[in-house]
Amino acid sequence: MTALAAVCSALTAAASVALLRRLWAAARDGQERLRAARAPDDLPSRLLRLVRAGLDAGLLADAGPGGLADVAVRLREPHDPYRNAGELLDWLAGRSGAADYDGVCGLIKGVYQLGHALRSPDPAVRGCLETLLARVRVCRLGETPVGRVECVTAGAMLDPRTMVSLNYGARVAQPLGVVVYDAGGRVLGKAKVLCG
Amino acid sequence: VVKNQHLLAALAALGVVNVLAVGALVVSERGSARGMARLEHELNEARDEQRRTAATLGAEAAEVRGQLQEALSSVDALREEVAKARSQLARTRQALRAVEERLEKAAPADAKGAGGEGR
Repeated sequence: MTALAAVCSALTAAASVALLRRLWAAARDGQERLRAARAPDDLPSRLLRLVRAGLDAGLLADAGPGGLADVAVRLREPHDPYRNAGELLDWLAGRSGAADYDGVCGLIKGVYQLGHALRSPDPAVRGCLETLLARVRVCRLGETPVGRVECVTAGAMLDPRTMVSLNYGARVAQPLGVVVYDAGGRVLGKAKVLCG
Repeated sequence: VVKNQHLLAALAALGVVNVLAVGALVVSERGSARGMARLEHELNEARDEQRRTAATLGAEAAEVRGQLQEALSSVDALREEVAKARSQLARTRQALRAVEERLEKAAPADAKGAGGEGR
């Protein structure tokens, strides 16, 4: 009985250490991938916090031994160049300095996709989006300056005036973008959403 | 923020502590078993010694009983001797008494004979 208890304890400790090492290795991998990021604000550090929060929340449950490279980005659009969280991080690091409207909207979609892939908690995703929303607010669409930016929450009813659904459904399952208004309240950009 | 990882680290630490505790328990059990074996050995030795002492005491008691029997028989022999001596003493006394009586009886006759001769 004593030997059984010892074996169980040893196995528990070994499994915990193995899982911890896997998570730390993935966090280091994310840090390495984001090292190349060049941004005028603290987006890279917020992305790193998002990755760490996602690793802590999801514990890489769906990933194989490859860590971030084994976490599939399930909500990708067909033209997205990345297929897994590692490639998405590389892509985000490469585009982290974008200041134009399309570039920032791509970053916002990437952050949503990364949060969904890693099962990051909503506060971590929102914290990462704050910087990008600030960038959007200083953008201009043509000659029109952006007046207001609004996030879409999961579970909201699909509103065709402000949202573009990438699939069929009545309720938002996962937002992939934000709604952009001008100073007069006119919609300048619709939010991409996935409905469930 | 990293609560799950803290929990994992705590789980790992707990597992290590568990292993150490079980190891300490095993060492303690072995020490107890050694102590029990030593105590049992000492108990067996004490029992053997007690058995040897009892055997020695039994032999000594038998020897003392024999000596006592011999002493009792010597006392009986002495008693018989004393009884014989007493009976012999009684017979000697009776003989002496008879001699005295005879001497008393013989004394007046002797006195009469001596008076006649004086006349």
